[in-house]
Order: sequence, then C-alpha cells, then structure tokens
Amino acid sequence: MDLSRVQKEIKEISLDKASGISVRVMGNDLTRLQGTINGPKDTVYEGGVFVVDIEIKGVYPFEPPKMRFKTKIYHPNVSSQNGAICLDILKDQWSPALTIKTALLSLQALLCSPEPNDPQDAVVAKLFLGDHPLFERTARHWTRTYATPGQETEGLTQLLEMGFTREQAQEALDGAAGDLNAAIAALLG
Amino acid sequence: MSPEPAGSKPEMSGMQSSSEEQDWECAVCCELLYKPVVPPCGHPFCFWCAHRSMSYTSVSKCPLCRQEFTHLPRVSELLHNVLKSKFPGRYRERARETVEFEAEQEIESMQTDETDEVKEDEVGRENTFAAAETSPAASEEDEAFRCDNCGGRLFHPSVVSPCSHCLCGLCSGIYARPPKDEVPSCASPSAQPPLKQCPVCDCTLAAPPKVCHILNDYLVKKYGRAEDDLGLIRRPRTRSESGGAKPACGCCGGGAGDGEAEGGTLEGEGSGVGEARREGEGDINGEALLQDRIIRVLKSPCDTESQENFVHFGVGCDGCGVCPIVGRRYTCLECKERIGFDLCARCNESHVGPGRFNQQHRPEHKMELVEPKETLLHALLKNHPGYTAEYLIELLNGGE
Repeated sequence: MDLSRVQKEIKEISLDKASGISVRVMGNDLTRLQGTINGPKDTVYEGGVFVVDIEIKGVYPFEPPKMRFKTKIYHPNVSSQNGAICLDILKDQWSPALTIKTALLSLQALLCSPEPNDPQDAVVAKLFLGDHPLFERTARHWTRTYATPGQETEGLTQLLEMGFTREQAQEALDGAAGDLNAAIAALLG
Repeated sequence: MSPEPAGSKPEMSGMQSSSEEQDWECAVCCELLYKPVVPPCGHPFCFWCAHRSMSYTSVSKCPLCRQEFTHLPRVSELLHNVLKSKFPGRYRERARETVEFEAEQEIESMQTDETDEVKEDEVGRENTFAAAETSPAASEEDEAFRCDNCGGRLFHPSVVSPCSHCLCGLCSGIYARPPKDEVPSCASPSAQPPLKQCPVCDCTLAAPPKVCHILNDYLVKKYGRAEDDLGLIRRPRTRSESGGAKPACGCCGGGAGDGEAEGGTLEGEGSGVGEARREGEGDINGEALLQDRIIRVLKSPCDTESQENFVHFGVGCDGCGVCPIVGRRYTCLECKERIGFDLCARCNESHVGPGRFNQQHRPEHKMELVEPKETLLHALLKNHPGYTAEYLIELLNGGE
C-alpha cells in the first residue's frame, strides 16, 4: 500500500474544516479508518453525523477503498441492514486519481440526491418512490435516533419511562417511523 | 485527531512540498512525478503509476479524464530532464524510492540515461548529482524546451504516444502558419488529418496527440504564448460532424483564447475518443488509428478462432507498449528477466533495443510465435458476452 499517500490524504482531510467530513485512524497500520459525514443541510439527514467504516487494501489506490456505513441510515442506496453502499465510484468507476476525501464527499452528495432507480435497499427505494412523505419521516427518525450523538429522542425517553426496555422501545419506534402514539399502540396492542 | 499517525518521519520533504512542486505532482501517488509517461490525453503520470493503473485485460482509462488508451508510453525524456533540473534534490529522492520499490518487486522500469547514475550513487557517491545540477541548470533548461522534430521553440507541446517525442504545436498539426498573402480575414487554414506517425521516429502513433497541459502551463508562464507571438492559427478540427466546426482564427480571436477555450475546441473530454472511433469504424483500408482497432477488438465479443483478434490477457508489448497484446504475439526465448519479453506482430518486425522494463533484449535474440491458447477467462467471456473481463476476474477471486 502507498502509505505516504494515505498519510497525506488524512492530513489533507484534517486541514479542511469546511467540507463536513473527517477521518481518523483505527489501529496503527492505516488499513482501517473511520470517516464521518455530517448530514447535508435541507435534507432528511441534516443534524446527523454518519460514521463510515473504511478499509484500505494493499492495492490502494489502484482499487477502491471499501466503505460501509456504520451508523444506521435510511437511504435507497444504502443497505438498512448492514450499511453496504451502492455507489459507482466505489466499484467499477473508481479511478486511482480519486481519494478517500473525494469518496466521502461523493457519499455526502449521495445523501443529497439519492438514486432510487439503482437501489441497494429495495424496500427503502420502493418507499422513496411510492410514499415519499413516509420515507422522509422514517429517514428523519433514523437520523435523530441513530446519527445524533448523545441525544435520545423524546419518544424513546418517554417509552423508557413507561417501563419498556430499550430494545422494545426502539423497535416499536422504528416500526412506527418515529410516531410515538403509533409506537405505544404497537407495544400495548 | 492525529494528522500523522505514523509520525516517524515528519520532516520528509513530501510533507512540505512547495506549491511549484505541487504543480508537477502525479495524480496517482501524489508525489513529484518520476519517469513521467504521457498517454494521448496529455496527463502525465509516473511510469509505475501509469503501468499499475492500466487494465491488463481490457481498454485502459486515464485516471484523471478517463479517456481510453491502450499503450503504456515510453518515459518522456524531455519531462524527465525538466523535472530533474527543476527539483534536483527531490527528484533524486524519488529515484531512490523507485529503485527501492523495484528491488522489492524484482522488476525494473524503463531506463533513462540518469538511472544508472542514481544506482551508482546508491553504492557510494553522495550529492554530486545535486551539485552538478544546480548551477548550469537555468540556461540549460531553456535549451531543453525545443521541439523534438523541428528543433524550434517549444509551444503548445504534445508528448506523442507511445514513443514520447515532444512536438510543438506546428509539428503536431494543431497550429498552422498564416497564409502568406494574409490580409486579416477569417479564412481558416485547412484542416489537417490527425497525425498518425511520429515525425521524429516514424512510429505509428496510438492516437492523435493532445496538448500536455502541465508542460504548456509552465511554458506559457515562463515564456508567454508563442502561438500568439508568431501569429499562428489554430487549425479547425478535422471531422466537423462532432460538435460542429469551430474554425479557430487568429484574427477574430477564435483561436487566441486561454486554456479553457482550448478545452472547448480540442480537449473536450471524451469527444476525441468518439471522434477517433467514428473514423476507425468508417475506415476499412487499414488506415484506422492504431488504438482504435485495438479498442474495437477489446470491446467485441471474445473471439479465439481468429489469430488476428486473439487477446493475450495480461501480456503487454515491449516495443510499442500496447497492453494487452491483440493479434499475433511473439516471445523472446533468450531474455532471462522474470517479466519476460514479448512483442506484438507489428513490433516484431521492427523493434530493437531494451524492453519497457529494461529487459536486455538484443536484436539477435530468437523470437517465437506464441500459439493462441484459450484460457478460462476466454471461455468465460465467450459464454457470458455481457460481462467484462474485470468483472469475471473479480468473480473468480471471490469478490462481493
């Protein structure tokens, strides 16, 4: 692997405060990095901080870095189960002149403009096209729940106070796209 | 967050490269270019960066602009010399890094006159290189900027592929002298068919040359625009059906724009390729551009019956640099180097001298025709014509 290039890239990202992305090294051999992407303004991801696991293989930059959302995110091009990303430049359209930074910026752009016709998660894509308002509500709920650091949603707090376990409460809220009353109904029903 | 996780060599020059040095960085390794090669699109890369970016099974694409190319060009002596005299210390460091990389990989890159010097340095001599370079460099550098063909002032330079001779705007046919009885008028010079042979060495060019911007920007900054000083006229594009004819004209300012205007007329991304392909397809007299014919075969369904269309996956030609070799392939029975020495049919008739990877090939070595042997990849491609070779290889490797 081209160590000095990866080092340079990390340094460059750390110097750029304006783009809303960051990266840090996990471990000590530069093969595992963790990136973060701030949810873009005026999208359902606004306010969220999304963590991306990055794996740099020995052949980098001649093959793309492996990227996967670690933070759960509700997006047609990201698996809601395991965070796998469907983005051409991370696959066959990769070029060795691209960088970790350009890849993270492309992910940020993907959050602004989803491609439901080339989906990674068919269920999310179907909702995106079929019931857009419900998609937006769900995506906002996921952003608040999973991508907002150190902040529990009001709904979750209330359900916990009512004596439900965290898992139960979270599952019910997710199933109800964040709607507290519907979640309570589901839990009591 | 620690910006320098390794933290072992914070003071290395790579971290504090000057802005001028950044202009000459390779887009792949992000270091100062070393042994630069220039594909037909005009974007330079280090020899190894270009080689490792190429596809061994299909058409390669420029990492920066994605223009297709098929030949690993020779190292550009002119750019090599410019870099060496502009950044003597850093260039030497790059040479040493590359020698280390090559020793590790047990391969060698194409040799330039100076590589031996560096190798000797490795053994003992220190700093003579840098000392010798700094003082006379200034005037020598001016002398270096000459067209390889006409010897005149270098302007609007293109490094032609695959031989890497550097041509001025007149010799590459991109510019023309104004007509003799010229009264300023918009009468444009005749279009010239794209250059098919290098005027210096007569080798067949892979594709028509485009300006090498990194070098052009430098020349313009340093000496101004010779094309303006000399009142030269930009030739119109040859085939006007693509994007409409835009006769560039010195008198009406059409051709005197800056780099961006040029981008519109000649360097329009991808259009050059489309244009070349159109010509190739319409041409049945063997006149098609060299690269075109190869791209056409590589993109056609896999054909193992015809020797002319057989693709030798993973094997490049040490003469012209085409990779993979399409058609007849010859291999040297006497070259000892691990990487082997192979030639395409065209080069087997003419090529002498060392290979792309410094194989010590001699003209008297015995070459043998390699019988086309169908591999698993050929078979898969024939059975699954919808898939690319890259995709199938990824599947074979158990990719996602």
